[in-house]
Amino acid sequence: MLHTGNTGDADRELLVRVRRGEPASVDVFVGRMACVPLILAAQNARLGRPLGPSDLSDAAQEALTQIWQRLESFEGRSTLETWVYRFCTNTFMNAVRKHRRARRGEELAEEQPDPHHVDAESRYTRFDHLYRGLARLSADERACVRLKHFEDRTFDEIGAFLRISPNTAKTQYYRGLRRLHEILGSEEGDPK
Amino acid sequence: MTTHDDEHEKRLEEWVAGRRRPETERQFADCAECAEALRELRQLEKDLSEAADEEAQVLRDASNSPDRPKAEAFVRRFVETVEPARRSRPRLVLLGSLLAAAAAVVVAVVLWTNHSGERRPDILLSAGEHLQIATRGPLRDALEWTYDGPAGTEFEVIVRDGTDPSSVCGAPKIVTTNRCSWTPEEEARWPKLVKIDVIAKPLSGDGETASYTGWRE
Repeated sequence: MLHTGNTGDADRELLVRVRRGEPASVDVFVGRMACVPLILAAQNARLGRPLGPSDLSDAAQEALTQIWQRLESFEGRSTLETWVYRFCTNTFMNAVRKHRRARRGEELAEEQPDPHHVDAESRYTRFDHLYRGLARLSADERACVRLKHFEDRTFDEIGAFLRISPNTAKTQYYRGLRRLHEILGSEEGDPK
Repeated sequence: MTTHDDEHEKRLEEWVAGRRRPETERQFADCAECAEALRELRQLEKDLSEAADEEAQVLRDASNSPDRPKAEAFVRRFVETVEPARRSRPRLVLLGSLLAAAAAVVVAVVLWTNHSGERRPDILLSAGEHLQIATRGPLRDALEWTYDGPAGTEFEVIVRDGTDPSSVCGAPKIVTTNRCSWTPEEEARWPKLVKIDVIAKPLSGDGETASYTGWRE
Protein backbone atom coordinates (compact mmCIF):
# COMPACT_ATOMS: atom_id res chain seq x y z
CA MET A 1 0.00 0.00 0.00
CA LEU A 2 1.12 3.54 -0.64
CA HIS A 3 1.03 5.60 2.52
CA THR A 4 -1.10 8.42 1.19
CA GLY A 5 -2.56 8.94 4.67
CA ASN A 6 0.78 10.03 6.14
CA THR A 7 1.12 13.68 6.95
CA GLY A 8 3.91 15.79 5.55
CA ASP A 9 5.18 16.61 9.04
CA ALA A 10 5.54 12.95 9.95
CA ASP A 11 7.32 12.33 6.65
CA ARG A 12 9.70 15.21 7.24
CA GLU A 13 10.56 13.73 10.62
CA LEU A 14 11.09 10.37 8.94
CA LEU A 15 13.60 11.87 6.51
CA VAL A 16 15.49 13.59 9.34
CA ARG A 17 15.88 10.18 11.00
CA VAL A 18 16.86 8.56 7.68
CA ARG A 19 19.58 11.17 7.19
CA ARG A 20 20.83 10.31 10.67
CA GLY A 21 21.01 6.70 9.54
CA GLU A 22 18.56 5.25 12.08
CA PRO A 23 18.06 1.66 10.88
CA ALA A 24 14.35 1.41 11.72
CA SER A 25 13.63 4.64 9.84
CA VAL A 26 15.75 3.54 6.89
CA ASP A 27 13.63 0.38 6.75
CA VAL A 28 10.43 2.42 6.73
CA PHE A 29 11.93 4.70 4.07
CA VAL A 30 12.84 1.71 1.89
CA GLY A 31 9.24 0.47 2.12
CA ARG A 32 7.85 3.89 1.26
CA MET A 33 10.25 4.48 -1.64
CA ALA A 34 9.21 1.20 -3.23
CA CYS A 35 6.62 3.49 -4.83
CA VAL A 36 9.35 4.89 -7.11
CA PRO A 37 9.89 1.84 -9.35
CA LEU A 38 6.15 1.14 -9.11
CA ILE A 39 5.19 4.66 -10.24
CA LEU A 40 7.61 4.40 -13.15
CA ALA A 41 6.23 1.00 -14.12
CA ALA A 42 2.66 2.34 -13.93
CA GLN A 43 3.56 5.36 -16.07
CA ASN A 44 5.31 3.09 -18.55
CA ALA A 45 2.23 0.86 -18.77
CA ARG A 46 -0.04 3.87 -19.34
CA LEU A 47 2.14 5.02 -22.25
CA GLY A 48 2.13 1.61 -23.97
CA ARG A 49 5.44 0.41 -22.45
CA PRO A 50 7.94 2.46 -24.46
CA LEU A 51 10.69 1.43 -22.01
CA GLY A 52 11.97 -2.12 -21.62
CA PRO A 53 12.83 -3.62 -18.20
CA SER A 54 16.46 -2.51 -18.37
CA ASP A 55 15.61 1.12 -19.26
CA LEU A 56 12.94 1.13 -16.58
CA SER A 57 15.41 -0.13 -14.02
CA ASP A 58 17.90 2.59 -15.02
CA ALA A 59 15.16 5.20 -14.73
CA ALA A 60 14.26 3.96 -11.24
CA GLN A 61 17.93 4.17 -10.24
CA GLU A 62 18.13 7.71 -11.64
CA ALA A 63 14.94 8.85 -9.89
CA LEU A 64 16.10 7.37 -6.58
CA THR A 65 19.46 9.11 -6.95
CA GLN A 66 17.75 12.46 -7.53
CA ILE A 67 15.42 11.91 -4.59
CA TRP A 68 18.27 10.83 -2.32
CA GLN A 69 20.28 13.92 -3.21
CA ARG A 70 17.33 16.17 -2.40
CA LEU A 71 16.05 14.61 0.82
CA GLU A 72 16.89 17.79 2.72
CA SER A 73 14.69 19.88 0.43
CA PHE A 74 11.50 18.00 1.38
CA GLU A 75 9.29 20.64 2.99
CA GLY A 76 6.71 18.34 4.50
CA ARG A 77 3.84 20.03 2.64
CA SER A 78 2.75 16.82 0.97
CA THR A 79 3.29 13.13 1.53
CA LEU A 80 6.55 11.57 0.40
CA GLU A 81 4.75 9.74 -2.40
CA THR A 82 3.38 12.91 -3.98
CA TRP A 83 6.74 14.64 -3.50
CA VAL A 84 8.64 11.89 -5.33
CA TYR A 85 6.04 11.74 -8.10
CA ARG A 86 7.46 14.74 -9.95
CA PHE A 87 10.97 13.23 -9.88
CA CYS A 88 9.51 10.06 -11.34
CA THR A 89 7.63 11.95 -14.09
CA ASN A 90 10.71 13.95 -15.06
CA THR A 91 13.02 10.93 -15.06
CA PHE A 92 10.49 8.85 -16.93
CA MET A 93 10.02 11.44 -19.69
CA ASN A 94 13.79 11.93 -20.01
CA ALA A 95 14.20 8.16 -20.40
CA VAL A 96 11.40 8.02 -23.00
CA ARG A 97 12.95 10.87 -24.99
CA LYS A 98 16.36 9.20 -24.83
CA HIS A 99 14.84 5.91 -25.93
CA ARG A 100 13.02 7.59 -28.83
CA ARG A 101 16.22 9.30 -29.99
CA ALA A 102 18.07 5.98 -29.91
CA ARG A 103 15.31 4.23 -31.85
CA ARG A 104 14.71 6.98 -34.41
CA GLY A 105 17.11 5.55 -36.94
CA GLU A 106 15.89 1.99 -36.46
CA GLU A 107 12.13 2.27 -36.78
CA LEU A 108 10.57 0.84 -39.87
CA ALA A 109 7.78 2.68 -41.63
CA GLU A 110 5.18 0.10 -40.56
CA GLU A 111 6.17 0.43 -36.92
CA GLN A 112 4.30 3.68 -36.41
CA PRO A 113 3.52 4.20 -32.73
CA ASP A 114 -0.09 3.86 -31.61
CA PRO A 115 -1.74 7.34 -31.89
CA HIS A 116 -3.32 6.81 -28.47
CA HIS A 117 0.15 6.42 -26.94
CA VAL A 118 1.51 9.39 -28.90
CA ASP A 119 -1.28 11.48 -27.41
CA ALA A 120 -0.57 10.13 -23.93
CA GLU A 121 3.11 10.91 -24.38
CA SER A 122 2.41 14.48 -25.37
CA ARG A 123 0.18 14.84 -22.29
CA TYR A 124 3.01 13.52 -20.13
CA THR A 125 5.38 16.04 -21.69
CA ARG A 126 2.96 18.80 -20.67
CA PHE A 127 2.68 17.33 -17.17
CA ASP A 128 6.46 17.20 -16.91
CA HIS A 129 6.66 20.93 -17.81
CA LEU A 130 3.93 21.63 -15.31
CA TYR A 131 5.75 19.85 -12.49
CA ARG A 132 9.00 21.61 -13.32
CA GLY A 133 7.16 24.93 -13.38
CA LEU A 134 5.53 24.19 -10.03
CA ALA A 135 8.96 23.47 -8.56
CA ARG A 136 10.01 27.02 -9.44
CA LEU A 137 7.17 28.73 -7.53
CA SER A 138 7.67 30.04 -4.02
CA ALA A 139 6.97 27.45 -1.34
CA ASP A 140 3.63 29.04 -0.38
CA GLU A 141 2.46 29.54 -3.95
CA ARG A 142 3.37 25.95 -4.83
CA ALA A 143 1.64 24.57 -1.74
CA CYS A 144 -1.55 26.55 -2.48
CA VAL A 145 -1.70 25.39 -6.12
CA ARG A 146 -0.96 21.78 -5.20
CA LEU A 147 -3.38 21.64 -2.31
CA LYS A 148 -6.13 23.20 -4.41
CA HIS A 149 -5.73 21.02 -7.49
CA PHE A 150 -4.02 17.84 -6.37
CA GLU A 151 -5.69 17.42 -3.01
CA ASP A 152 -8.94 19.19 -3.74
CA ARG A 153 -8.79 21.37 -0.61
CA THR A 154 -10.88 24.49 -0.01
CA PHE A 155 -9.14 27.80 0.66
CA ASP A 156 -10.24 27.57 4.31
CA GLU A 157 -8.53 24.17 4.57
CA ILE A 158 -5.44 25.40 2.72
CA GLY A 159 -5.22 28.40 5.07
CA ALA A 160 -5.52 26.18 8.12
CA PHE A 161 -2.93 23.74 6.79
CA LEU A 162 -0.41 26.46 5.90
CA ARG A 163 -1.27 28.57 8.96
CA ILE A 164 -2.28 31.57 6.84
CA SER A 165 -5.67 33.24 6.38
CA PRO A 166 -8.00 31.92 3.67
CA ASN A 167 -7.69 35.27 1.88
CA THR A 168 -3.90 35.01 1.85
CA ALA A 169 -4.28 31.46 0.52
CA LYS A 170 -6.45 32.80 -2.32
CA THR A 171 -3.92 35.49 -3.14
CA GLN A 172 -1.03 33.03 -3.08
CA TYR A 173 -2.98 30.67 -5.30
CA TYR A 174 -3.73 33.42 -7.81
CA ARG A 175 -0.11 34.62 -7.85
CA GLY A 176 1.02 31.03 -8.17
CA LEU A 177 -1.13 30.47 -11.25
CA ARG A 178 -0.01 33.70 -12.90
CA ARG A 179 3.63 32.97 -12.17
CA LEU A 180 3.27 29.38 -13.33
CA HIS A 181 1.83 30.61 -16.59
CA GLU A 182 4.80 32.97 -17.05
CA ILE A 183 7.27 30.17 -16.30
CA LEU A 184 5.62 27.77 -18.72
CA GLY A 185 5.52 30.48 -21.38
CA SER A 186 9.22 31.16 -20.97
CA GLU A 187 9.95 27.43 -21.21
CA GLU A 188 8.16 27.00 -24.54
CA GLY A 189 10.52 25.61 -27.12
CA ASP A 190 12.81 24.25 -24.43
CA PRO A 191 13.32 20.63 -25.50
CA LYS A 192 13.96 19.53 -21.92
CA MET B 1 -12.65 48.28 -24.27
CA THR B 2 -11.38 49.40 -20.87
CA THR B 3 -7.81 49.75 -19.58
CA HIS B 4 -6.47 46.90 -17.46
CA ASP B 5 -5.87 48.13 -13.91
CA ASP B 6 -5.63 46.95 -10.30
CA GLU B 7 -9.39 46.64 -10.09
CA HIS B 8 -9.34 44.21 -13.01
CA GLU B 9 -6.58 42.20 -11.34
CA LYS B 10 -8.70 42.05 -8.21
CA ARG B 11 -11.62 40.72 -10.25
CA LEU B 12 -9.43 38.10 -11.83
CA GLU B 13 -8.17 37.04 -8.40
CA GLU B 14 -11.76 36.73 -7.18
CA TRP B 15 -12.71 34.70 -10.22
CA VAL B 16 -9.75 32.39 -9.66
CA ALA B 17 -10.63 32.13 -5.98
CA GLY B 18 -14.02 30.74 -6.93
CA ARG B 19 -16.36 33.72 -7.34
CA ARG B 20 -17.23 32.90 -10.92
CA ARG B 21 -20.30 34.98 -11.46
CA PRO B 22 -21.52 35.47 -15.06
CA GLU B 23 -21.53 39.28 -14.65
CA THR B 24 -17.82 39.17 -13.65
CA GLU B 25 -17.02 37.16 -16.74
CA ARG B 26 -18.96 39.65 -18.88
CA GLN B 27 -16.81 42.43 -17.41
CA PHE B 28 -13.68 40.54 -18.50
CA ALA B 29 -14.90 40.67 -22.09
CA ASP B 30 -14.55 44.46 -22.00
CA CYS B 31 -10.81 44.26 -21.35
CA ALA B 32 -8.55 42.49 -23.84
CA GLU B 33 -5.92 41.78 -21.17
CA CYS B 34 -8.52 40.33 -18.77
CA ALA B 35 -10.02 38.20 -21.56
CA GLU B 36 -6.59 36.83 -22.46
CA ALA B 37 -5.68 36.23 -18.79
CA LEU B 38 -8.98 34.44 -18.26
CA ARG B 39 -8.36 32.17 -21.23
CA GLU B 40 -4.85 31.34 -20.00
CA LEU B 41 -5.98 30.73 -16.42
CA ARG B 42 -8.76 28.41 -17.59
CA GLN B 43 -6.30 26.43 -19.69
CA LEU B 44 -3.81 26.24 -16.84
CA GLU B 45 -6.45 25.04 -14.40
CA LYS B 46 -7.55 22.44 -16.93
CA ASP B 47 -3.94 21.22 -17.31
CA LEU B 48 -3.47 21.12 -13.53
CA SER B 49 -6.66 19.11 -13.10
CA GLU B 50 -5.57 16.65 -15.77
CA ALA B 51 -2.15 16.28 -14.17
CA ALA B 52 -3.77 15.76 -10.78
CA ASP B 53 -6.11 13.09 -12.17
CA GLU B 54 -3.23 11.31 -13.86
CA GLU B 55 -1.12 11.46 -10.69
CA ALA B 56 -3.97 10.01 -8.64
CA GLN B 57 -4.48 7.20 -11.17
CA VAL B 58 -0.77 6.34 -11.37
CA LEU B 59 -0.47 6.33 -7.57
CA ARG B 60 -3.48 3.99 -7.41
CA ASP B 61 -1.94 1.70 -10.05
CA ALA B 62 1.37 1.72 -8.16
CA SER B 63 -0.40 1.00 -4.90
CA ASN B 64 -2.19 -2.02 -6.36
CA SER B 65 0.87 -3.44 -8.08
CA PRO B 66 1.76 -7.05 -7.22
CA ASP B 67 5.45 -6.16 -7.74
CA ARG B 68 5.84 -4.39 -4.44
CA PRO B 69 8.29 -6.90 -2.85
CA LYS B 70 10.51 -6.69 -5.93
CA ALA B 71 10.37 -2.89 -5.85
CA GLU B 72 11.24 -2.85 -2.17
CA ALA B 73 14.25 -5.11 -2.76
CA PHE B 74 15.38 -2.79 -5.55
CA VAL B 75 15.17 0.27 -3.28
CA ARG B 76 16.97 -1.54 -0.46
CA ARG B 77 19.87 -2.38 -2.76
CA PHE B 78 19.98 1.23 -3.88
CA VAL B 79 20.04 2.58 -0.32
CA GLU B 80 22.73 0.12 0.72
CA THR B 81 24.79 1.13 -2.30
CA VAL B 82 24.58 4.89 -1.91
CA GLU B 83 24.95 5.22 1.81
CA PRO B 84 26.35 2.07 3.44
CA ALA B 85 28.15 4.22 5.99
CA ARG B 86 24.88 5.61 7.26
CA ARG B 87 23.60 2.21 8.21
CA SER B 88 24.26 2.08 11.95
CA ARG B 89 25.39 -1.28 13.25
CA PRO B 90 25.94 -2.57 16.75
CA ARG B 91 29.34 -1.42 17.99
CA LEU B 92 30.88 -4.92 18.20
CA VAL B 93 29.86 -5.74 14.64
CA LEU B 94 31.20 -2.40 13.52
CA LEU B 95 34.49 -3.05 15.31
CA GLY B 96 34.65 -6.47 13.65
CA SER B 97 34.10 -4.88 10.28
CA LEU B 98 36.84 -2.35 10.87
CA LEU B 99 39.27 -5.09 11.92
CA ALA B 100 38.32 -7.15 8.91
CA ALA B 101 38.83 -4.14 6.70
CA ALA B 102 42.20 -3.46 8.27
CA ALA B 103 43.21 -7.09 7.80
CA ALA B 104 41.99 -7.19 4.26
CA VAL B 105 44.71 -7.45 1.76
CA VAL B 106 44.39 -4.62 -0.62
CA VAL B 107 46.05 -5.58 -3.80
CA ALA B 108 46.68 -2.91 -6.32
CA VAL B 109 47.74 -4.32 -9.59
CA VAL B 110 48.58 -1.61 -11.98
CA LEU B 111 49.61 -2.68 -15.40
CA TRP B 112 50.92 0.07 -17.55
CA THR B 113 50.78 0.17 -21.27
CA ASN B 114 52.17 2.67 -23.65
CA HIS B 115 49.70 4.22 -26.05
CA SER B 116 51.41 6.73 -28.37
CA GLY B 117 53.85 7.55 -25.64
CA GLU B 118 51.06 8.16 -23.12
CA ARG B 119 51.07 5.86 -20.13
CA ARG B 120 47.79 4.96 -18.55
CA PRO B 121 46.71 2.25 -16.11
CA ASP B 122 44.95 -0.68 -17.77
CA ILE B 123 43.46 -2.08 -14.62
CA LEU B 124 43.43 -1.32 -10.95
CA LEU B 125 42.22 -3.99 -8.56
CA SER B 126 41.39 -4.05 -4.89
CA ALA B 127 40.54 -7.19 -2.98
CA GLY B 128 38.96 -8.24 0.28
CA GLU B 129 40.12 -10.95 2.67
CA HIS B 130 38.33 -13.76 0.82
CA LEU B 131 37.35 -12.03 -2.38
CA GLN B 132 39.66 -11.29 -5.28
CA ILE B 133 39.04 -10.15 -8.82
CA ALA B 134 40.29 -12.78 -11.26
CA THR B 135 39.87 -10.81 -14.48
CA ARG B 136 43.11 -9.32 -15.70
CA GLY B 137 43.48 -6.84 -18.52
CA PRO B 138 40.70 -4.92 -20.22
CA LEU B 139 37.10 -5.96 -19.60
CA ARG B 140 35.77 -8.18 -22.38
CA ASP B 141 32.66 -10.31 -21.94
CA ALA B 142 32.43 -10.74 -18.22
CA LEU B 143 34.05 -10.04 -14.88
CA GLU B 144 35.27 -12.99 -12.83
CA TRP B 145 36.44 -13.33 -9.27
CA THR B 146 37.47 -15.91 -6.69
CA TYR B 147 35.94 -16.26 -3.26
CA ASP B 148 36.91 -18.59 -0.45
CA GLY B 149 34.35 -17.38 2.08
CA PRO B 150 31.16 -19.15 3.18
CA ALA B 151 29.21 -21.20 0.64
CA GLY B 152 25.89 -19.84 -0.58
CA THR B 153 27.17 -16.28 -0.66
CA GLU B 154 25.44 -13.85 -3.02
CA PHE B 155 27.40 -11.23 -4.88
CA GLU B 156 26.11 -7.83 -5.74
CA VAL B 157 27.83 -6.30 -8.75
CA ILE B 158 27.69 -2.56 -9.28
CA VAL B 159 29.11 -0.89 -12.38
CA ARG B 160 30.24 2.71 -12.01
CA ASP B 161 31.78 5.39 -14.17
CA GLY B 162 35.53 4.90 -13.67
CA THR B 163 36.17 8.65 -13.76
CA ASP B 164 33.28 9.41 -11.42
CA PRO B 165 32.57 6.40 -9.20
CA SER B 166 29.59 8.16 -7.60
CA SER B 167 27.81 7.68 -10.94
CA VAL B 168 26.23 4.21 -11.14
CA CYS B 169 25.66 2.68 -14.60
CA GLY B 170 22.43 0.71 -14.60
CA ALA B 171 20.92 -1.39 -11.87
CA PRO B 172 23.12 -3.53 -9.64
CA LYS B 173 23.10 -7.26 -10.41
CA ILE B 174 22.87 -10.09 -7.91
CA VAL B 175 24.62 -13.33 -8.86
CA THR B 176 25.41 -16.52 -6.99
CA THR B 177 28.31 -17.58 -9.21
CA ASN B 178 31.82 -16.09 -9.37
CA ARG B 179 31.11 -14.41 -12.66
CA CYS B 180 28.95 -11.60 -13.98
CA SER B 181 28.24 -10.67 -17.58
CA TRP B 182 26.14 -7.99 -19.23
CA THR B 183 24.22 -7.68 -22.46
CA PRO B 184 25.68 -5.55 -25.28
CA GLU B 185 22.74 -3.14 -24.74
CA GLU B 186 23.73 -2.70 -21.10
CA GLU B 187 27.39 -2.22 -21.95
CA ALA B 188 26.53 0.28 -24.68
CA ARG B 189 25.48 2.70 -21.95
CA TRP B 190 28.76 2.46 -20.03
CA PRO B 191 31.70 4.85 -20.32
CA LYS B 192 35.02 3.47 -21.59
CA LEU B 193 36.60 3.43 -18.13
CA VAL B 194 34.50 1.54 -15.61
CA LYS B 195 34.82 0.70 -11.94
CA ILE B 196 33.04 -2.48 -10.97
CA ASP B 197 32.41 -3.25 -7.32
CA VAL B 198 31.74 -6.85 -6.34
CA ILE B 199 30.20 -7.09 -2.89
CA ALA B 200 30.13 -10.51 -1.28
CA LYS B 201 27.09 -10.90 0.95
CA PRO B 202 27.37 -14.10 2.99
CA LEU B 203 24.27 -15.39 4.76
CA SER B 204 25.94 -14.57 8.09
CA GLY B 205 28.91 -12.46 9.03
CA ASP B 206 30.29 -9.38 7.37
CA GLY B 207 30.38 -8.78 3.68
CA GLU B 208 33.39 -7.58 1.78
CA THR B 209 34.09 -5.74 -1.42
CA ALA B 210 36.57 -6.12 -4.25
CA SER B 211 36.73 -3.79 -7.17
CA TYR B 212 37.98 -3.66 -10.71
CA THR B 213 38.76 -0.43 -12.50
CA GLY B 214 39.63 -0.83 -16.14
CA TRP B 215 39.00 0.02 -19.74
CA ARG B 216 36.41 -1.82 -21.76
CA GLU B 217 37.57 -3.48 -24.89
